[in-house]
Amino acid sequence: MWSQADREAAQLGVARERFETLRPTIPQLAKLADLQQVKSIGSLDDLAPLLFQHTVYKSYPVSLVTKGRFDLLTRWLDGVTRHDLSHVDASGCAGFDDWFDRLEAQTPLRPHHTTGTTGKLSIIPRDKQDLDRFEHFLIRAYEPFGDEPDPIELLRKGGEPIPIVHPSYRHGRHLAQRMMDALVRHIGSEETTYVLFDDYLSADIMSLVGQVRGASMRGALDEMALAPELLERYRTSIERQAKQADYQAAFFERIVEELKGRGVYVVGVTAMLYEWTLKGEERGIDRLFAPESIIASGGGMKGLVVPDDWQARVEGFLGAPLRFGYGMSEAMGGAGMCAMGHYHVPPFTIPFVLDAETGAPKPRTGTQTGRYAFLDLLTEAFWGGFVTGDRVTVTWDGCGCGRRGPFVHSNIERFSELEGGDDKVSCSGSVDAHKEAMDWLVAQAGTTK
Amino acid sequence: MKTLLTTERLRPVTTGPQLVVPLILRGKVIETDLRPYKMRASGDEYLAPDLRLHLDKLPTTAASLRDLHTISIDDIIDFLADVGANLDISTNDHLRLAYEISARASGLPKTILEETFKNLPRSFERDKIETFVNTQIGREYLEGWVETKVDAYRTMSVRAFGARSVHIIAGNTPAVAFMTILRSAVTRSDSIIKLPSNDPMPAVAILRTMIDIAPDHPVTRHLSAAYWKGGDEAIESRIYQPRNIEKIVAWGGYASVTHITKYLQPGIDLITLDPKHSGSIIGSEAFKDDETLVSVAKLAALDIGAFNQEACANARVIYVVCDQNDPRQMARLNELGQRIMAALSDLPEEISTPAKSINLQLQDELGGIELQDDFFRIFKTSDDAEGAVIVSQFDEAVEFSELLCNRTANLVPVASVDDALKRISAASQTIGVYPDTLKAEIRDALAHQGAQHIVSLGQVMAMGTSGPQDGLETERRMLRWIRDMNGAQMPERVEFSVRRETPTLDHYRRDWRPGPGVDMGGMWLPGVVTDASGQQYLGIRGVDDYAPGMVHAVVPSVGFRMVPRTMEGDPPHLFSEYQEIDQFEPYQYSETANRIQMVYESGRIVWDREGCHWLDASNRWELHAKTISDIFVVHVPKQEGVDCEVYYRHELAKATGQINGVPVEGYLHVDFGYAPDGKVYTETAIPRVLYGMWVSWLHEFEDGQLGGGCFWQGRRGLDFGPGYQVKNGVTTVHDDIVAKPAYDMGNNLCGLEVQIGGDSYTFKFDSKGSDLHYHGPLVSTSLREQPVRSWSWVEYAGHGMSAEHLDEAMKRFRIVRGR
Repeated sequence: MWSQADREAAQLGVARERFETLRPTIPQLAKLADLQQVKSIGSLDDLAPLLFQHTVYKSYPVSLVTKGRFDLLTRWLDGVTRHDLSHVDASGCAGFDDWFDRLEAQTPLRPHHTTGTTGKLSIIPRDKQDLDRFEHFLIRAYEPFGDEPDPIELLRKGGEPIPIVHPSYRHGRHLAQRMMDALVRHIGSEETTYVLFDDYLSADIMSLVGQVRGASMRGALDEMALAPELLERYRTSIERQAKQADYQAAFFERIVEELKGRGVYVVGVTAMLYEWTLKGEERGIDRLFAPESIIASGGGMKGLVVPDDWQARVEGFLGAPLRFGYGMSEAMGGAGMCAMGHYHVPPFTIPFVLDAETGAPKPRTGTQTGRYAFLDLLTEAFWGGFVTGDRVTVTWDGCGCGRRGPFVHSNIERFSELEGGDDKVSCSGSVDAHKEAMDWLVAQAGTTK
Repeated sequence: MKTLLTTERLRPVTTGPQLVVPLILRGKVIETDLRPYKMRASGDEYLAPDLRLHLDKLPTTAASLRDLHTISIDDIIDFLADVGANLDISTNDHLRLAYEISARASGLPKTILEETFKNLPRSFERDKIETFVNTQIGREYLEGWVETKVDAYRTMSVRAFGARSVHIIAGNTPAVAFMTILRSAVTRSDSIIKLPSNDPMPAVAILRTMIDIAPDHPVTRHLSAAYWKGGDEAIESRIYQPRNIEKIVAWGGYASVTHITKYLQPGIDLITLDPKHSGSIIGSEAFKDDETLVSVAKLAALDIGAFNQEACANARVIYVVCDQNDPRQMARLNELGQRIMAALSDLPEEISTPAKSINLQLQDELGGIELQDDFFRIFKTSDDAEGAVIVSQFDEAVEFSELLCNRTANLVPVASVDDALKRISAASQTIGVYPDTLKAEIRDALAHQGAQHIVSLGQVMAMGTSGPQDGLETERRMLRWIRDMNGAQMPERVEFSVRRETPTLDHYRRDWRPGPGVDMGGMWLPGVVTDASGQQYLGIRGVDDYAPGMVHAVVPSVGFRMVPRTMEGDPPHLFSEYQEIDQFEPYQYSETANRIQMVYESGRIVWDREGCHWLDASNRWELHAKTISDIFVVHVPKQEGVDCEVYYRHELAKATGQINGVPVEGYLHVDFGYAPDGKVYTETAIPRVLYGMWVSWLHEFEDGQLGGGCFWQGRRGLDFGPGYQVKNGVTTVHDDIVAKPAYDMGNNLCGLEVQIGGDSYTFKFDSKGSDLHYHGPLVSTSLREQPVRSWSWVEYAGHGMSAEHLDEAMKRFRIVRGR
């Protein structure tokens, strides 16, 4: 087993190579290096000033999207990817979805986007090779440590496709849909995939909902004017979103009926799994799936108030343990949680803990608290260095579970939520704002028919 | 030379292990039953009394404010000046503690806080407060009842009284606390100040100083300061009740104000001073030459940097008129950005300093756009705390403009001033404009867009506290404005006398007067006649009633009309020229022993031994009238509610003649008004104050004998019933005529029961000659014999003609009357 020093030496080699290859081809990386006066990488700490703010991948003006200037959006994207996009014809793009189609048809890029809480999506310009690596490591996300059995092999049972459950869209360019592609292709099949909607999650509708939600939170919903064509185009999605509770209920029935007692791979946000649990408990269902099932979960409780024993109850209902990870759209691989409740950073990711005020890297020993940042070595289409908005505590010296190398403690907080103190007058949460946004869109869609 | 106090030179105040924020309860300091709270931003803990134990005493009764109103504004100013003299940070321990806490808790650096605390005594100086009271409220309204004339017959008195208020103050600068106390004292309010968690002590310091000087002074006894956790329903639902408070003055954001609205109900007035964003508009004149560019950069930097951009008046987004497609102009814009950044770094430390701590969210956003030049350029120094200037390379502000702080501004090129104006909204508080000529041009437009303060670029921090704040007059809103209406000074009984005179030709001469000291102020000739088919006609001539020497047809209210038997009120005109314009015509007056004549372009009025002759020059209207009554005169002398004496005279005549060749006969009356000092009738008390209804009629018996009468009825129950009747050829005058009106569904006068002496008359009205005039038959009487024909004329304007209406009507004649 490698020591942390071995691991860091190897990481430094790859990081240096990445920097040297990407600096001449990614203009924004070149500019950052110039600004920071970094010419070469002598140590891992030298990388710290070269990590992008998490806002870089959404640093385009949102009006480019609302005004349909996808030519300028392409130019902006050109500034953050190794690939040359100068030849891309983005004229007349109708929206994000259309633009992504063009990029994929005309370049090696296979970008994915984030949810974009105010309508502005981050766009992560992975390419085909990045995507292959992403899929490869996704399948290996739960690979065993020491003499643990391989959970995927346990599920596979001699090569049968694994049933995959995802209570959302099957296709799309959001990270969750890219994950679905990987799971279906490598360990499952379309026939054994259970999704809420078997069609495409539109980036445009996501952006639209975000814009409306943003306006709603600002109290500026009245000022929003949406083109009727736009509403018409997304009418189905909007109405479907509005009736999501009904669809969810039907989906739940289908899962209970068809998958009871079977080994499955579930990808779902924790809040929704908890809601399933409540429904299941009401009907006296427990141990819904076989114990070897993989339940990949995360995303928090979305404002739900839950009892202390929620996790035990969810696991009792599902019949298998929840597996948590700490990851983000910008990173190839997440950090899986071990039995000790620690998130272990994979070796192809170099983690940093930065001083929140100065941005200087904290020592890579002992236990450190600060801002989480990382360099993802798996990506070659763009610069994988990021500074997150998260306050974390990292221990560098190995874990009681036996794994070496750094791990992140589970008490992760967002800096933006830390401000406010004791007297922060509470306002309606994002859940309400989302509902208001949906209601508004449904009403708009209803009135333009 | 200005020397700044430095903290080192101040003797530090020991606060013990943990800061205690006391409850100040109307002159008492309470520091018991402490509970811990967390201070915003710094995260320090501090202790404050458990307010739930004092909730009964926190609000007060409305009547308790009497003591404040028994002392004069001078007393209040004296007291404030005393307090001000004791607000020296180097000797006042309360204030120094507040300063030390502010220095820890506030976003402002010590240099700026020191300036603010040092300036505090100055704002409590006598002449400063006197000016403040006068510019913000008007001292006379605080001192007593201010009487204003409403119209000739009414006055009102207005006085401003203090109210019970809760002030939810902001903690971004201690000036808000100072201002709130000053406002509260001069408006004689009872104020509960809800202390902000981010800087709770400045208000406490002043209140404690007041208690040290005079714990029982009414001003001290009406100021409280308390900390509770904003949103604590157990506390707030007890305080925010109409029986406890009348006003809530809320400084604070969308969330905190929205949260207060749940306590609003009738009786509670919410005054919101919500956080705003301010900006600037810079005209292309800024690029005239390098010298101008540098000076504009300095002015802009002042508006951005003063008070470290902690105030809502600070500039954040700056629109600059500049062609985004012209690289040379954009180069100049970028140069302006660079120079503003340089000027920000050069600002003196008592005005502006680098930020005490950087804002992570803003830095993240800046980091995101820093690496590309297509859309935004950033000018900054190597120290993030110094601030930054973002220059948009296209005509949009950054999406995170609401995060701009710590001396960070965004220059945005706009194609035109109009384009900049479009982006100003009600969330824009202060707009600095360069140059001043542009400011003068666009200030109306800025106001329409929602901007509230308009200043010359560079003057944002020099605005001071005079004048309205955020589009409203806070001090005036804090007061209760009480009106005492001295309605029309109308006595229940009006003194008047009636008499009759036998008509002679002399009565129609222009110099005839009913008494000394009055002149003719109008004469009228209304006729109500019918033809053989019963068709009713109405015509009128007014003479000398608005302008001396002129006649007119009193259009549009009457004119010459064919009056159908309906209540429509707008019957068709007989002659097209009188349809719309009231044509005034000069008349020539001539008189001989046997003949008096007024001749005007369109006709003439003649009196001779035969009677009165009213003729249209084109022979379309011809009435000859014989007077059948004596001349009735009513005199109302000057008295309370009647500003000058007035005479009114009236006589009835039987008319015959033709209209458009159709023979007609019926009613005609001649009436005159007389008043002193060149006044016309409409300027006198009868139409303005006294009269509610005016009735006159003519009836005819089978045998051709004639009768009739005329009388007034007072307005709104006023006992005013002068008039006369003609019975058996004899005219009797009365001062006690009573008429009981009846109304139809459309609120039209449809009937009248009249009592004159021992006689009674009942009318039914079936037609309207105008909005004011009713006509109809006399249907029964108490007389032995009943009349077979009748014509009537009633003027009734609901609650009467108002003085305002009559003034409005008289305005057109100001020039011609020379008054």
